[in-house]
Amino acid sequence: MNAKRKMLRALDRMLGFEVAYAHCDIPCGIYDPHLMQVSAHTVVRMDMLIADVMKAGAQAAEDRNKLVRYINVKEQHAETVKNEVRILWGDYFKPEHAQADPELNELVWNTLKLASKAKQSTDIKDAENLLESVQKIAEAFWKTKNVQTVRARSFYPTERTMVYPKV
Amino acid sequence: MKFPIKIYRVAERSMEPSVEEGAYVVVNCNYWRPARGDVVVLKDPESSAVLVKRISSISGSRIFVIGDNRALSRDSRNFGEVGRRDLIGKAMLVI
Repeated sequence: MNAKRKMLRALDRMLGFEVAYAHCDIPCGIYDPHLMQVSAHTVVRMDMLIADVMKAGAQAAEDRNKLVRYINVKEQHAETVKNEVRILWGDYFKPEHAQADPELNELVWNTLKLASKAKQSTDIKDAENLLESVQKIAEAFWKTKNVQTVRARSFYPTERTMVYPKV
Repeated sequence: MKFPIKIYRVAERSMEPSVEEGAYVVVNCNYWRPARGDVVVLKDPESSAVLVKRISSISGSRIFVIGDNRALSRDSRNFGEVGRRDLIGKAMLVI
């Protein structure tokens, strides 16, 4: 430690300087792409339920109530996807991951756009595109840990797959 | 009265290698014109903490701050842009 810092440290003990956090994250090191997949499935499911209500005409107050609730949940879960993607991108993925996987940055960027698109739309294809993109992120994530993955049945009413680590 | 110069002790590592953990930053809290590349002390928009980061870009009154140690940093990539009034001052010296 240099002499100036020693002097400041002594002053710090006497005066107690305020702390400026450079990092202010834990970091806990706990990252998992599971939640973003569950949320993407939820977006798909909400579009399915919205389509069902619309087929029935959505005239009754009860149907309209359902519609609003489905749209709210779709909005929340698309936002959860965005948040989870941002956490991986900002906190977990490192420059060497992007170097090893040149499509990673674009994949993240596209996923955020697709989540917005899924909010704007009730077309199930938009939700499916989001789910597909999220699953690619899940695969890219596990690849950075040298863990193989499998796309397997989700057992959700969406009847679509999940990416699981092979353990 | 706002004291024009303040000293902060830096905790944690998101500004390494330019500002290491345990360093002290001497901060000018007088008005200055923020510029890209400035190391700044600012209010954390998501807590009552004070952060030290680097200005990455300025768009009007919105300022994007980022840690030099990208892998560890929680910054505008997480909490978005900050406003001019969130900035406490510019680091003049790192000791």
